[in-house]
Amino acid sequence: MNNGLKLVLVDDQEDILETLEIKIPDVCDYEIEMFSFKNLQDATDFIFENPVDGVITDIHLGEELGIDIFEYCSYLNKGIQVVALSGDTSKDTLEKCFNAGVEYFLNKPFQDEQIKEAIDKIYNHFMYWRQLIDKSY
Amino acid sequence: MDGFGNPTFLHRPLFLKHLIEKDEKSFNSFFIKNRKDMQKKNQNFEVLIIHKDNLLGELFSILTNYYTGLNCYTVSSIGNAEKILKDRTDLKLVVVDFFGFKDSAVKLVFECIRKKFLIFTNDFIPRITKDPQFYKEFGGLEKYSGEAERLINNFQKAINQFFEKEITENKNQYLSLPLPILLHFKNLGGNLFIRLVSGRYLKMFRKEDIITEDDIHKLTRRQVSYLYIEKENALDIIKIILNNEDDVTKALKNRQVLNFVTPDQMKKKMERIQDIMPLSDQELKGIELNIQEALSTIEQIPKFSKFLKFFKVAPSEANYYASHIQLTCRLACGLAKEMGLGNPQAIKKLVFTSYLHDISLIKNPHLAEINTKSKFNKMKSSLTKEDIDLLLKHHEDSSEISLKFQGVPLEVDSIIKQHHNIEDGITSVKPSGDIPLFSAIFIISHDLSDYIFFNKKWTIEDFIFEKKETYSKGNLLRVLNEMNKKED
Repeated sequence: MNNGLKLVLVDDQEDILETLEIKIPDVCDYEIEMFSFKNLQDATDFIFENPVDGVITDIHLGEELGIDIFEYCSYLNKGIQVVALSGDTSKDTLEKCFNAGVEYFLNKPFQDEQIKEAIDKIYNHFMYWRQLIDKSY
Repeated sequence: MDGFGNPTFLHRPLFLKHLIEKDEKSFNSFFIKNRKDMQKKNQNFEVLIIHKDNLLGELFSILTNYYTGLNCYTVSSIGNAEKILKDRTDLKLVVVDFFGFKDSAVKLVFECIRKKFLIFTNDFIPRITKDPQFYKEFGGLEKYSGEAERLINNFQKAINQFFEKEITENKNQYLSLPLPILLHFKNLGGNLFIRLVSGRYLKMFRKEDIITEDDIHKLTRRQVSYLYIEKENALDIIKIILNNEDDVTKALKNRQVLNFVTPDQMKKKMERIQDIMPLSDQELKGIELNIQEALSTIEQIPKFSKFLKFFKVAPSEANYYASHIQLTCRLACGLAKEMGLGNPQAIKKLVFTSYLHDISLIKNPHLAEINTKSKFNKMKSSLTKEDIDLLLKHHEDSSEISLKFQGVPLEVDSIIKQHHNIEDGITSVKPSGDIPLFSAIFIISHDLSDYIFFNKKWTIEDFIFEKKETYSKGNLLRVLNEMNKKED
């Protein structure tokens, strides 16, 4: 585990990525490193190669399925937290996210408090385990 | 001969059953009706493999999947076979190894098949056996009998002939490898992928990763049965299985680990290095003489002399320890020459460093493979405290041992001490100043040798691209830039 929070942001809409990149450091008062990707393949390659604490991803990435990222993260067994991002709040989508183990759902367009709440959730989980692991040595 | 290579095995008949569901009118109409859909539907057909030894059954499943693209179920009990025969609707083939099962159990399997399917016997059922009378009652033609007594090769021929159509239409980009067999297949030369529900394949293990029982256990718990390798990398695996079927089956039967980097592949890797970093005959002879001297030096101390065989790549197997030394040595000498340091003293220094850098691990040569922090963290839970101590101190221990031998060139001990001094190196420490040039040459050669060993399709260009951030300053950057010039 590293010192700051490492977040991967995935959305095929550049303006959403830019908004997240600006708002996240604004609303959170801890160190966050962000890595943005516009497609699933680049994002998953990065997640495989690098230590990552959380992923915020759009569910509908053009023709790709953001839900694949959640499934992939769960197979990797790296303790990565996942947050879904979508304007689609249909029962089917929400159920899919829940079944895939998504920790949090950000409804587009999102408010600052929602972003803070989601990132805080990842951060608190990360800090809880970091302290436990650090104590064990 | 033992195991699979035992000729008695060939007396065991192996039946292939081409199955058509009972509601289909005939074999021909089935194909006419579905011809257009075959390519699309091919993925959905399934094969049931019944083999008393699950691992050997999985070997047949790999071959079947490679040649036909069909998904396989491998079972080692008749109960499970019966269940699959009852439940699955897309079975296209059943492969049965009768050995180890009671006649009554085999009859039960055939009853299940008869209840569910129309069975086209005679023309469509090759039987691999040396004894034509054996199990004749189940029908079928005897084919490939006793042909060079090569059961797996004969099976492959039968599959090819039997599934000619599907084989030409098999456009799968990945070969499925059953999880249990992955504990016994090592150095496959390609990354391993997981298949998501959506059908997308994503990287799960790097080509150099060591897959542990814990990995398999975690995936099995998630109901994952297969990992996948890209088909371009799979071809070599299939070739190795077919060309060495006795060794492969014997190893699996004895639950040993199979190394898929063969001595022949090592030879090819060395030939490619010679093309990229050429050394003259005289220079190569000089290296050979230095290697002999290094080995004679190691022989000085009796406790090491008995392990001398571990330093040479055996004709039967390219084990990691010896291959790693051989590759590192050749690359370090080649790189030194490129850097204008190809004089005899420098070459001697690098040859001795190559042969002594992991000498403290010689009693446990498998540990030498765990040479990065990432690998170490992954493997830590499966290592003993002694293994961990040995690994984390091996650079210092090997350096100290090198000083005990007579005739070891100067600086060898310090190069050994620094040989993992890069970001992810297992014994990496932050250097106080720049890394000396010889150490930089050795560190990069050492890293490059692993890249070449584990990678079937290696290029210097890709290595440089991958490592440019790791070797970004001082002498390490200088060596990398020299390699880059060469590549240009």
